[in-house]
Amino acid sequence: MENISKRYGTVTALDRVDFTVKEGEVFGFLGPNGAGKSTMINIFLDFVRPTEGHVRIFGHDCQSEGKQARERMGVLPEGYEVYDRLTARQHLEFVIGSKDAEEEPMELLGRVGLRDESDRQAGGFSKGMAQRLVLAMALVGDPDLIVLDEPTTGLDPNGAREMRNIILQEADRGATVFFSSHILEQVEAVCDRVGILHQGELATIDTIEGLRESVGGGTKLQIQVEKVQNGVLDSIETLEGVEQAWLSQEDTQIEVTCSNDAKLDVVVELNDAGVEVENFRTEEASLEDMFAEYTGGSR
Amino acid sequence: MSWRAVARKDFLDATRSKMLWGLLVVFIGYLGIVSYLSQGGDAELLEFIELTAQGFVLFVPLVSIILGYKSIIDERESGTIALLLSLPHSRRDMVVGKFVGRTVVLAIPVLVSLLGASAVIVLLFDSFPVIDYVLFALLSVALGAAFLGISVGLSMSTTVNRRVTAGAFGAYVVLGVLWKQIMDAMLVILWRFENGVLVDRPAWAMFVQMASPMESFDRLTAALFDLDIATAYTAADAPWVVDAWVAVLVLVGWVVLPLGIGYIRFSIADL
Repeated sequence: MENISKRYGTVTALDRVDFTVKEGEVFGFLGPNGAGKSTMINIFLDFVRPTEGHVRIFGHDCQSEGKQARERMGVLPEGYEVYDRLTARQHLEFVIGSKDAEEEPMELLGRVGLRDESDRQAGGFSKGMAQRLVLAMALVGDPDLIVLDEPTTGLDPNGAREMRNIILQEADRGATVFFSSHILEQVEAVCDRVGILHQGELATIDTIEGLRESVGGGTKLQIQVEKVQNGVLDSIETLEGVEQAWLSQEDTQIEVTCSNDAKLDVVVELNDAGVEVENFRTEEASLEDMFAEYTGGSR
Repeated sequence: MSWRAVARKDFLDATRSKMLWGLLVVFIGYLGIVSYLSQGGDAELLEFIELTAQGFVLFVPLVSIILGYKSIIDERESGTIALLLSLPHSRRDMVVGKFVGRTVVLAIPVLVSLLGASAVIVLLFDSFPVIDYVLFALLSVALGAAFLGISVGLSMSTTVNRRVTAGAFGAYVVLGVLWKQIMDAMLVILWRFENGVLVDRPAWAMFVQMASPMESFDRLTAALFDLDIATAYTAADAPWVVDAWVAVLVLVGWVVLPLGIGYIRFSIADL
């Protein structure tokens, strides 16, 4: 991905997005709706042509050599519709024929839990069933890259879990998975690295742990006290491992972000200062907060 | 060769709709009636061909328009195109596959009905010109292919449904129903209302008139059988620009040009 921009008239959908996904990793592409995730994926698929920049997949330019690029890809696109009159099995036969693959449609349908629906016309499928069918289509021919655009749309929690298992199985097989979502937990559960897209720009790109660290040490303390005395907050902030301390409720509640190891030091410091601790709670710093921060809370 | 997979899928889709079966019934029914009306000697055989040709020249293009005009735009509007083009098919594979698939859907009822009629001919008539008959069957498919070229080409060229529909059926009316009148009117206007020009037409005007796929179909049918259709082109003093091989080129042109122009627009579009 090299400096991809896409403009529609004066509207910039993607602004110089530049990153690389390594072979074999599960990459989560995160961003609120309308951030440009689907535009990006549509450029991979050559549905949309970038105004500037190039995307290469396995060395093939997605625009000039799109067909070769797609030969090794399995895709669950966004905004698709299944062929109403074809059965689930015929959909798979079409994909198998298109990719010169040799696979058993029933096996793939079994993997996504549609074995019993194989001879039904797909026009009667619910959104969730269609999503399972297209996932099965994306798995045809053991592709080296699997691109999933909002794969859990229309799936119930059970279906979402099965989807996650299939993603992990494919990753174990050695496939690269590129997975877009506006839901953080899904990305968090399966991805090695995450890119956050916001208003067409790549806000950050990092591992899940890296993101956690960047949120601030990883822990937030919430401490109920009887009364806060002057200067206590400042002295807490001078402790090693403490990032920030502030009053969250007038005089009686302190919040502190700090590393895990510094927790006790904070309490000891309060005690030394003669502040009586009434209650004490720790919170894992949530990626949710960070996501909201990067995307301006516009989730 | 990935267009084959697209064509197979498209054909399968058509067999699942009632379209193919409906067409089979209509074509076999029509040829049944025509064979019933004409039975006996060689003169009646020509009458059989003439009636068949007269029916086909109106009906085959209409069927082709109906088969083709939604072929691409429907996939774009519904979103099935996202599945098709995320597979290793180029847009060209998609267009070729669609065109071939729909041509097969058209060819089956045309060829099956003519095959059935040939059995009747062998039973009822004294002679059966096999080669000419086969060529006529292929010619009928070619007429359909020309209109599939037009309708599929239009279907690719825009996402405005209204325009595709108007363009496709407009092409049918202009090229089929109104063509001769339009040509006559243009000639008369160019010749400042001297009606004599209609009797003694210049060679280029005869070519332009034959440039409609229907006229070319008539011209070629007349070349195969001794029929009184397209007499203007088959007269002894007719210029070479209305020879039968030119009519073949016209039909090929109607397949290639609209598809080509539509494809250029389709290939650069954001979906």
